[in-house]
Amino acid sequence: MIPTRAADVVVVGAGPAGLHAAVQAADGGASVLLIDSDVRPGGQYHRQLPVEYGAVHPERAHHDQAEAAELIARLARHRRVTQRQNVTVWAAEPRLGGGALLYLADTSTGRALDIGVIAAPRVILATGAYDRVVPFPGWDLPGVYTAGAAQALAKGSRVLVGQRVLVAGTGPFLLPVAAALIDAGAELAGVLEANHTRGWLRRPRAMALAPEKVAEAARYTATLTRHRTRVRAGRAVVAVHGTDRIEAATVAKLTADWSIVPGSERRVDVDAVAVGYGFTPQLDLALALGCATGPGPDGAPVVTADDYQQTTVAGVYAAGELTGVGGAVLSAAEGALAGLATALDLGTLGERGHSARAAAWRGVRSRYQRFATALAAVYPVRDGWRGWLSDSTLVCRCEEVPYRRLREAVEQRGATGLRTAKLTTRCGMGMCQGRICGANVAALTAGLAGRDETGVADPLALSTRPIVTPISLAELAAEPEHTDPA
Amino acid sequence: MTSDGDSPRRVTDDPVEPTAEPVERITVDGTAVPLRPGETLAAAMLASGRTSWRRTRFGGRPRGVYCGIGVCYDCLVTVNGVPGIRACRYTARPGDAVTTGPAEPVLDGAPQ
Repeated sequence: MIPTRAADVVVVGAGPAGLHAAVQAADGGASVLLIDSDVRPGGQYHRQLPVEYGAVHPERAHHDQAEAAELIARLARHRRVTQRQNVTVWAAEPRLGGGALLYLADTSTGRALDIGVIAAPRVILATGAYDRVVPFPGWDLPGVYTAGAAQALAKGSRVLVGQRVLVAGTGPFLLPVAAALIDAGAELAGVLEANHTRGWLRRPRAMALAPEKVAEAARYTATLTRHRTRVRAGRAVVAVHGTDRIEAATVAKLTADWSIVPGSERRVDVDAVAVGYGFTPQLDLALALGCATGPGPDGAPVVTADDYQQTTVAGVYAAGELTGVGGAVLSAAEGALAGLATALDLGTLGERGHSARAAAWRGVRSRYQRFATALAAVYPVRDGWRGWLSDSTLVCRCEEVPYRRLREAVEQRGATGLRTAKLTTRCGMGMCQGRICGANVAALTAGLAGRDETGVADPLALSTRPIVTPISLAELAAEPEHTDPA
Repeated sequence: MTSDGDSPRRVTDDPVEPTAEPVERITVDGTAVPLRPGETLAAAMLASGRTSWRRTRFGGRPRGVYCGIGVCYDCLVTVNGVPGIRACRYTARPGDAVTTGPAEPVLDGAPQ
């Protein structure tokens, strides 16, 4: 496979960051290829209904859809923008002279695409994030979903994960998930916020930083209130029960550090729970390209980016949740700034034009970075969840590694580091490649080894792999040639 | 709407007012399952009342949709003979033949 030069700038991901990156780079004079792994652009936040549904009022599934729909339509018309949906980058390597070589496959089937390998002189990574979850007894039973799954199915497919649902975890994302389930007709058995907080809406400084978010949160709260539901703080789902599927959940009160308050456990009959403990940035491509990382707002690793959103690798930019989880507004601003920077770097946009366009986005980015830091302080993942596990609770779903085996590896076999724990127990070596269990295994290993660590101190221990997404062996057998005519 | 397209898992009296109903069909292990054009395989299978469709290779544990966005690989199925398809990332087409079951052989004596 000989790489073809696709465009001046390749944007990976069509969520809020990627959409804004593509439009700003193209308006700045660069040719842009926007690739996205989903069938429709929008990402998780601006998830669109399938066009085949022929919905008369698609905006009713997502209140903030109008602006995103306009941006998506503008990109579709833009003469310097090419879009490819349902495309996954399954491997990436730095390109001589800057940027990257990207190996592409069809998302649905994992088969390589006709365009195969592309040479991208400038790349903007806007790969987003996915739900962070913590394990608890029964968390791998069918009927336990991530909060993101419950929302994606309700908003994107108009299918409910259950009729009687508990929403649990931490963070402001629980509100839109609960509201989406209510709007779609589910009965909520409760909305449980593990942290002892009355929410960021009661913190004037956080509110002042994010006026756009105040109205949004107030709307979700109003939906809950109409259905006589409210968020109950200091509580969590600490176990679920059932044989082949969930039948009930145990809800408990938590201490400040999330230990279970003895005697507070209560059994609740539900047919689904939706659980989310914040988000984990999708770092795989950035790590494959050698981009440096550092601790983000919550201590977890994020891609290091400068004022232009450029990473430590020449010609590779990063925008959105992978540089620090902060929501759609921050992602949009970072994406816009990355897009403008590539146009400046390519010379299609002059200094004066760049400064004029970047000024407002820089202000938004600065304000929302402070908001992200404030949110991370209000909604941390506390260590007490480690005490919810029993010996047989799986810590790694793919390789079915029970907690006991990880504990024995650390305490009896000296596997006190994340790399040795992974190699000894096979945690993180299955199909999801540690995306689901990585942060938890890191925290459990550090705790068992007596280290006080937040986040993943060594993200490469989990993510060093030549192939970032599972694909079929036939694609590897094609032996791509590493020549670059661009 | 045809009666067998009715499902308590589908939003009823939907405010978005979809004009396409779940009148198409796929088969899951030979059984007909209603499909609304455009929806993912995961959505169609959940709407049909299924919550799991795979067993893990060591413990034989049931698995279905978990992350819903292509990250966890729990929801794997075989579609028209192609194995390893994530049901949550695959837009189902009328007539698709889905087969479920263990993606890998169940191993005896695996360390637990």
